[in-house]
Amino acid sequence: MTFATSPSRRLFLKQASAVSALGAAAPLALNLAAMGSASASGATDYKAIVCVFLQGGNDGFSTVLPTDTDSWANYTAVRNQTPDSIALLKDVAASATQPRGSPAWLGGVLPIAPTNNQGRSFALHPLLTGLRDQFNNKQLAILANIGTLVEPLSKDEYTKGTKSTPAPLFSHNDQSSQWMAMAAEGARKGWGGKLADLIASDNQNAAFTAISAAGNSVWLYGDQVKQYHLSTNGAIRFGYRPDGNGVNRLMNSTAAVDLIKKVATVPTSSNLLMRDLADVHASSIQAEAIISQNLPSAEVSPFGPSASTLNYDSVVWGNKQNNVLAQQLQSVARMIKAAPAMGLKRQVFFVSLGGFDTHDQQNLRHAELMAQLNHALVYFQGMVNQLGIANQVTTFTASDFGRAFTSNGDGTDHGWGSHHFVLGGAVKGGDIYGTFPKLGAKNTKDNGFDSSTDQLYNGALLPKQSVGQLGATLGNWLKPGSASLLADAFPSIKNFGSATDLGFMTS
Amino acid sequence: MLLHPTPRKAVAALLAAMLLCCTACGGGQANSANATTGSGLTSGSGNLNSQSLAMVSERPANEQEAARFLTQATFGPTRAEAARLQGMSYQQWLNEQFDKPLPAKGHLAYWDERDAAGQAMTPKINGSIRDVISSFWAHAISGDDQLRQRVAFALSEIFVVSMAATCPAVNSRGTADFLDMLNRDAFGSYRKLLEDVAMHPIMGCYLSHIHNAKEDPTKGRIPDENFAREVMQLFSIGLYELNADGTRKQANGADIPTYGPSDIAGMAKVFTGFSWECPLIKDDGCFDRGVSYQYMWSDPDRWVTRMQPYSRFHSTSEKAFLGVKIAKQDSPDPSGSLKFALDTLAQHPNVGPFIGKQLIQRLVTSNPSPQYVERVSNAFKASGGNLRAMVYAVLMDPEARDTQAALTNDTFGKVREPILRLTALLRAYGATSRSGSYLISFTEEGSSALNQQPLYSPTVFNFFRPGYTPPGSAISKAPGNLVAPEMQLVNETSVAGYVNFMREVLVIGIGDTGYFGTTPAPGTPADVRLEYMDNLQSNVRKLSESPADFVEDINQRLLYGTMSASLRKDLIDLITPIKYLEVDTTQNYRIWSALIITLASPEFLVQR
Repeated sequence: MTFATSPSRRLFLKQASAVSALGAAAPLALNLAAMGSASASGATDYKAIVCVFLQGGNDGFSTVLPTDTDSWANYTAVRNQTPDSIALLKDVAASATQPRGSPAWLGGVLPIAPTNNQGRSFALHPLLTGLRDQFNNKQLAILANIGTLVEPLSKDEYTKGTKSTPAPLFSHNDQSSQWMAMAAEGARKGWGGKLADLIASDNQNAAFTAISAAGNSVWLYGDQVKQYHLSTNGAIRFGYRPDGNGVNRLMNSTAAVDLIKKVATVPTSSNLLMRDLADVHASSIQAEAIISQNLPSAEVSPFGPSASTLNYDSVVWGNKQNNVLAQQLQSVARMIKAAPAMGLKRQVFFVSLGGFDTHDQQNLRHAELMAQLNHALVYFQGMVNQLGIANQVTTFTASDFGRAFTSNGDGTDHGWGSHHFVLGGAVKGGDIYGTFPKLGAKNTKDNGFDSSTDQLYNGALLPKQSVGQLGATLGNWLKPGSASLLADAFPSIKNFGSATDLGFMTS
Repeated sequence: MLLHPTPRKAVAALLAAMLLCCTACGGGQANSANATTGSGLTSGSGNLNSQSLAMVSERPANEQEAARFLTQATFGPTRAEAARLQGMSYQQWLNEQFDKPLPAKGHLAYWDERDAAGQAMTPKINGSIRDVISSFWAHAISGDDQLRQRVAFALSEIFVVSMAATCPAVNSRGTADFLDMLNRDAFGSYRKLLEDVAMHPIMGCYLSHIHNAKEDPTKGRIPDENFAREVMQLFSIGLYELNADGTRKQANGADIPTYGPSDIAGMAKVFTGFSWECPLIKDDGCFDRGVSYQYMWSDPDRWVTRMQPYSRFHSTSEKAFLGVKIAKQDSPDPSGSLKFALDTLAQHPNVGPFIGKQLIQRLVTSNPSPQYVERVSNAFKASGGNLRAMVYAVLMDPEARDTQAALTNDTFGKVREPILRLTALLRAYGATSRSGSYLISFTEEGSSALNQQPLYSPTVFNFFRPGYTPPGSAISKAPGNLVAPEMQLVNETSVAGYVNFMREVLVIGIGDTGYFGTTPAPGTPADVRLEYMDNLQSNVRKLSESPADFVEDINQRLLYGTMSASLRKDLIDLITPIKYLEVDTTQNYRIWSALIITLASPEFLVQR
């Protein structure tokens, strides 16, 4: 079996072979020893970025809203269809007698006043009260009409097909992959992982540079760095448990502990799938031993007590419910707290919330999701602030795509560009970055939206800022002075001229 | 051990046998059409690898081959079934399975029985998603129609509905029926399956085309596009034009998309005007909510009865998609639109390679050769689109059956998905249910269970994607753009959660200890128990007193005879010194220790 080996990987592989004598311990030790040994650049402070992925395609049109006359009128007209109007209201009080989640039940959208208002007025979804406060406190910025792009293109160029687009558009799995890895499903490296490659040498335990508290995410895989998965219950022990004396036993046996470690981690065949499983087993076993010693309890301040801190006000149920996104972010915060003890200076994290594919029952479903997002982000930023590192952790939202502007009667279909949030003390908050699109009126006879150069068929947004620019901007903050490396990590940003930094971060 | 001492037939004979099967299961008469179809199949298979085809034996050479076949075709071999299979040909076994009647008690009947029992309790307990899940396990573990159940499970991972979403969970009786429907259609025509999937009310609510109204061009409302998109992307043709061998066609060096936004818009109009059955009256309330406005009445079977057309909500405008069109209708014809659209999809040349490759991935190997995919596509095409022919071709392909090649090929096989790991263990070790109902329920938690639960995928994109490759892995770096879909469920958390979970299964069994919601008497055992737990005379217990024989027995039960010398030695060395004062305890610890380590071994976790 031969493997493709790029020249840039040779040094790394050489280091890898040097530690392979460690046998079963190789995969993680490779990260720990080989990469840790390069720890010369020596960042002295701590910085982390956190990706909050909204699975299914969040409806940006009802998350950040332009409230100036024309856009608001067009939004209201297009989104008000039978049987359910999904047009949010403004300047009205919430009415508890209306159906849960309906615009009237929610009350009016929440006005915000960006530093540069582009001559327009804006508001947030009625349940984003905490994010509105963060915006006012200048810890939250809005990225207008951002999306997956290969190169800038106009509506005309899109229609004529004369420019490259990140195919296949409108497909969940592929556009998620485009957001995370600038390639369709099956991608092998994501930009979170590429950033992690740049910072791994700042960490003594390089294996903990890129961490998912959600499922497996291609976003966290780089050339060298691999995702480590941390559950919301912390690191999980591999079958054995400590006895009364703290000695690990499996089926009452210490020999069985040794053997399960060996059998699970040392492949007995050259079958590649077996090798890959053995690698994950080794990573699981070795990381658990380290993390379990360092991770603080979820029940102490500022993380817990979980019974109250993880609860949000559910629109659907009308009471407090456990917030799975908050739970993941709690794990992230605990890991951040443990970072100094583990010799970690730079990290990237991935969390996610599902359910954003609101084809139907959008009022109820989207309101529920906004409530969860609002609670989770406010809770997380609160923990970060209390840990005293508000300026050192930056959180941003991402999603498969935005949705169509048009309504299908009680929901919305797949779109492209959308608006997203960036949160943290180092963010130049209280402002909107990127030209906010004007929402046009539909054509008289079809849904072409000829009145808007930003809107495609069914009013889907043609993005004007790219995910690559977002990544490069975060990269500049995470690892200043690495412009050439970032150009390598985000090959498409060269297509955007000098605008490689969107300017929403303080240096 | 890897020799093939049994007689084997030539290519033509094998294919002839395959075709006899196809025709028979298609319901057609055995007539001269066989010969015509047959020549069509062989001549269409330009890439047949005659050398490897010659390796296919008509019957298993030994227990290893029998058990390996059963690992692909069932929820896990038992030693008894492997022995029985050695006395017959694969074809006989397959035909026996193809011809088995549907279970006397299907998933819906199981749900109704549990619900009825719950209604008799105080307080009452309604049927729920647990009953769908438990019914799945009951059939997977103890059903004698293993091939049908196994294929239906594979289909449930292609034609996905999920009780992780509200509607299929709240209306779990309907979801039980959806799974029954996959059972009914597993060996029938793909076209029928596609229509049954499209018109099932649970799919209707899961992908939101139930009570989907026609467009309103004046105001700009569009039909819901959800199902229209996914029926093409996931259930029939996929994103790109395919060759019969599953590779993408190219034009000017680029992939050719099968459809674009305008095709979605056209297809979305087809799926307008379908909603719940209201047998007595079909007013707008029935369309909107499944409840008649006039009588405030709804059909108690509305979540299991096929969706019905409501003409006045069906789009009459021209519906263009995939290069064809349904002309503007003077009077709305939802059934006619549906038939035309589903015929168009079912006849698309992508269906064979698109569905066929996924069925290979679910049953046999993650990375079939293009020739293997093409042979399966051709068998499907020659049969007129029959799933029985497809299943036969998947399992009887030389690439599936050549044990020696499979075991020496570093990229052959697939990671066993967690559900199949548990079924393999429970079947191999004679698990039975104390209640008879196999009360296994929630297994979706990754940090403490299987990270997977039947009919509980996070989205319509299944637990894992057919195109998933684990980043940074050896398989991803190998030549050929290889994939390992099941690895999407594998991470540092889930591998440890799985081992902890299996440890408990080995020691105490699995499943609820009483009727849902009731408090069991202290000490009540788990509902599903492995045979060695309760039968002190069991073979497994006796064997454990002779470590080498016991380990060889594990090798046959769980590893279809492929255990490595080093694992064998390690297990024997581990359990031989285990000696407690009581024989029973010695037996227990030997059994538990050897099995948990086997279950954690990559040798078990990868099915070759």
